[in-house]
Amino acid sequence: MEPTDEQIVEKVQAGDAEAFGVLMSRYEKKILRYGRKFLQDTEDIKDLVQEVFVKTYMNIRSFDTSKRFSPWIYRIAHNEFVNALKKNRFRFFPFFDFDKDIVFPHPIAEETADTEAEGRINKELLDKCLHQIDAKYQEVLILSYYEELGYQEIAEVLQIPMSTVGVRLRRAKAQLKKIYEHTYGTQA
Amino acid sequence: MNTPMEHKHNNNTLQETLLAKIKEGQMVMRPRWHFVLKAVLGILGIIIMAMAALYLISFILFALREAGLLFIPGFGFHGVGVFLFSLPWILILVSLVFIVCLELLVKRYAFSYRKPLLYSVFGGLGLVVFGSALLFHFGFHEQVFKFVERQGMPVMDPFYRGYALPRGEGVHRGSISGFTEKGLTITTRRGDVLEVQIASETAFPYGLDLQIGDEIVVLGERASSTIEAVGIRRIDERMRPPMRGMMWGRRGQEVK
Repeated sequence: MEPTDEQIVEKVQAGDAEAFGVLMSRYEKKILRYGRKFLQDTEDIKDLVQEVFVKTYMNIRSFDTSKRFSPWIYRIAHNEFVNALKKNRFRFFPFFDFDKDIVFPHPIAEETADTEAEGRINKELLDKCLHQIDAKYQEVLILSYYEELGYQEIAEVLQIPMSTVGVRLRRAKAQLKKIYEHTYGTQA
Repeated sequence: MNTPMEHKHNNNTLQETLLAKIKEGQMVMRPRWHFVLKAVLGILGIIIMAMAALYLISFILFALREAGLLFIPGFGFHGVGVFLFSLPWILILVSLVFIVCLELLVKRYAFSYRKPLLYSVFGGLGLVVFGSALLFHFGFHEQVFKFVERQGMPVMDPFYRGYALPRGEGVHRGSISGFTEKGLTITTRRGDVLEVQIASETAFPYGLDLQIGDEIVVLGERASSTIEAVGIRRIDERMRPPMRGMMWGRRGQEVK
């Protein structure tokens, strides 16, 4: 049976450098793909991914192995990419990024089989229209559909309330559908 | 330990570069104490910000009461205008800065970011205001003021005196020391005796039932030692912290 990420992290924390190589193998592609949704320049992304792994290694002793590793590393990646975006496109993520979805309470978002009820958003539709929707909605879609994180994990990565994840996902899907219908003229 | 798929990636340069850096000691894990220290400093920062906000807000309430400003909105529009103009805006601004810093520090913790911002802002604000009200109610600053006055502390004494004593914006506070034909006389905390002239237009929003020893606030312009009263109100006993009765004298008693 394959060791879990958390078991590998325990080895890294104990000083096994090779074990960190295994973690990199598992997450390099995922983090690269996540970075591509933020930035276009491939070289920039590679540098940032390297920085993500450097920070992961340096801070790995702060990770609590009783928790899941993937939201933790995605949080580091999120910070790295958002900081890069701030440098490149200040207007995109202004210093005071007021978001009313975070401010006000929403009914608890349930992680149900809405995929069946609303019709699963397929990867093709996502690839075609993702860059046309609002940035804050793009990220939840990426984490949910490409990285397959749950609501709770997305909330940990983005450090926002879980109910906000649900609201953003619902709005993201609605925007995606609208854009698809406007562009391709058919129901998504 | 590697799975076949993971072995395939092992040739990848990024992985090789970083593993080489780890082996050469160019990339090292931060020790556990680093994170413990960071967490302790974070908590310490939160405590300091919360205490600073508590101290300042309760001080603002104390200063407003001591200067008599807390009671003047009862004199109507004129009173409200003087009240707004005389508020210690710098202290209010500094308190807000402390509260914003507190919010930013707390926001890093899961218990805070898991809840909508509105909850955490109002929760933090509520706790700070409630704590300040408690300090205010139990006369914390009265004790500090008495202490710094006695000791003549270099920074604290002018600070407390500067804010807690009336600052001459037409608001005067003192205890009634006698009644005259034109009105009454009051003795201020500085020990000045002021003559308060009452005219037909003078407002008494809380009644005319005044006795010697009553603590009052007078709104009106002062010329020399005479005040032409626009409004007079007695300070409610309930507005004083429990130990204040001893300091200012009970109603109907001579102030010593």
